[in-house]
Amino acid sequence: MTYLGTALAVLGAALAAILSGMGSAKGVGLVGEAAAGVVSEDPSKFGKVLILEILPGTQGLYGFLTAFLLLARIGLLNGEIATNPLTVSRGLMLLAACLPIATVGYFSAIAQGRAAASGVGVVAKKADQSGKAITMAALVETYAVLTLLVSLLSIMSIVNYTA
Amino acid sequence: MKIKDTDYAFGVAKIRANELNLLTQVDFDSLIAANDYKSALRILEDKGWAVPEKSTSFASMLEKFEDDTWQLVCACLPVVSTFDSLILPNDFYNLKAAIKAVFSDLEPNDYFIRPFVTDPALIAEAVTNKKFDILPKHLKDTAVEAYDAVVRVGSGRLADIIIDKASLNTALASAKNSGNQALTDLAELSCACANIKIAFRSAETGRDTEFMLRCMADCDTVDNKRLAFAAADGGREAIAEYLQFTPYSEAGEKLAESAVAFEKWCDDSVMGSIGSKRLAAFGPEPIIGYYLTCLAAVKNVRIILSAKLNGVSSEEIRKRVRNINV
Repeated sequence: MTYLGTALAVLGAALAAILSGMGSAKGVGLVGEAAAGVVSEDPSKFGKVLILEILPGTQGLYGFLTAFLLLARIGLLNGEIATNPLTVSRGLMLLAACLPIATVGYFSAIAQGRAAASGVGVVAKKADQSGKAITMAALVETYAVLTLLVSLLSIMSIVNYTA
Repeated sequence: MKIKDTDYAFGVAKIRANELNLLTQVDFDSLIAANDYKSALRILEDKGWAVPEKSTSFASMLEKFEDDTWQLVCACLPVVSTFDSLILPNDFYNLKAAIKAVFSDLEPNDYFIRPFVTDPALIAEAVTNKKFDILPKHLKDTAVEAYDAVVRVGSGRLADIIIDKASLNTALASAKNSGNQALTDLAELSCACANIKIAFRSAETGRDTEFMLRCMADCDTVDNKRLAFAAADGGREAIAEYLQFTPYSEAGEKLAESAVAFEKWCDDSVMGSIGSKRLAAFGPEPIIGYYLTCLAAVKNVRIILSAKLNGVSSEEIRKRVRNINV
């Protein structure tokens, strides 16, 4: 039971990385399919569709960032955790702190993938309107960024918290 | 395996890129306004069509366009059989061609059309050797029945009726089976239009209700009995009156106008049935819309070039040209 708190915190880090990574993979994959459809007809549009394809990939990065920060702050990366394990309550709090980016990251990446894939259709027909397509897809990012902030701030506060 | 709407992401994007090459209403206006056949061909050549160099026969150009369109559509579909309902009628057309060719001692291959679900060579072999068992289920019974109609009753017309009805029923069943509402609506509309045409032509030629009901395809949006009785009792006006109570009230007005106006309405309705669904980012609807637009473009080009060759006025051409929404 000594390491249950630590295990819960690591579970949170894993969920943040796995779920947001899965969402990004789905989103980027979807836009990639649409982008391939356009590039197969007009290779000159590769640059414009590439920007759209990158957009849903950010949630995966946010999940990775959250997981890395958590693992570093609890001392798992430098081995300090062995001498100073987390309590169960703190582990649970860290797990909860990871959930915003894990869940919203997953769903927003898929939603952004759909929006960006639709934008690829806009680029296919009206390349000069690519800015609008990128803006529409980028707006979905807002909610991933907000939850990233919530998760990061929570992790930092919980680790620094002394009862 | 169930196909998700996002499985069409590649195809829809590819179609969007190709929509730039479609002939628009402005292009058709230019074609109609062209001074002569050669000028019309030049406009098509500028738009990338493979126009014939010397011959006045433009059939090969249209065939090539249709073939290219179908190949593109196939490349865009996760499962090509999804669109079977759109091309199954071509199998029945080929069956009709094979039966007629065999009984007229002609080469069936010269009359087959593409695209198809069933290889026309198989249909030709089945009809030539009376080996109907080699045909797929959707063609087998119809082929036997139509062949018997020619051999025993000696009626090519009856064979046509059997095949046409089976063609519409099979396409509708296939569309329903695909689970796609747009395809089902399209097949339903084709059946309704065909039934209205049958009622109208039967009324004009004094055919009885029994004949009409025998010809009419199964249809959910039109009551075939009421339509047939209206046609037999009151002709064109009664058909129009009955259609007021169906989703095809406009068809009655067009029938009252002229047969040409009604034919144009049928084709325009097919295009209109896909409507704004073609703007969807995922799903088969944009691909269906593209395919229908290409078929309408082929029909329009055929009408315009034939009219130009025969010196028909621009006004008359305009009455016949179908609406295009690109």
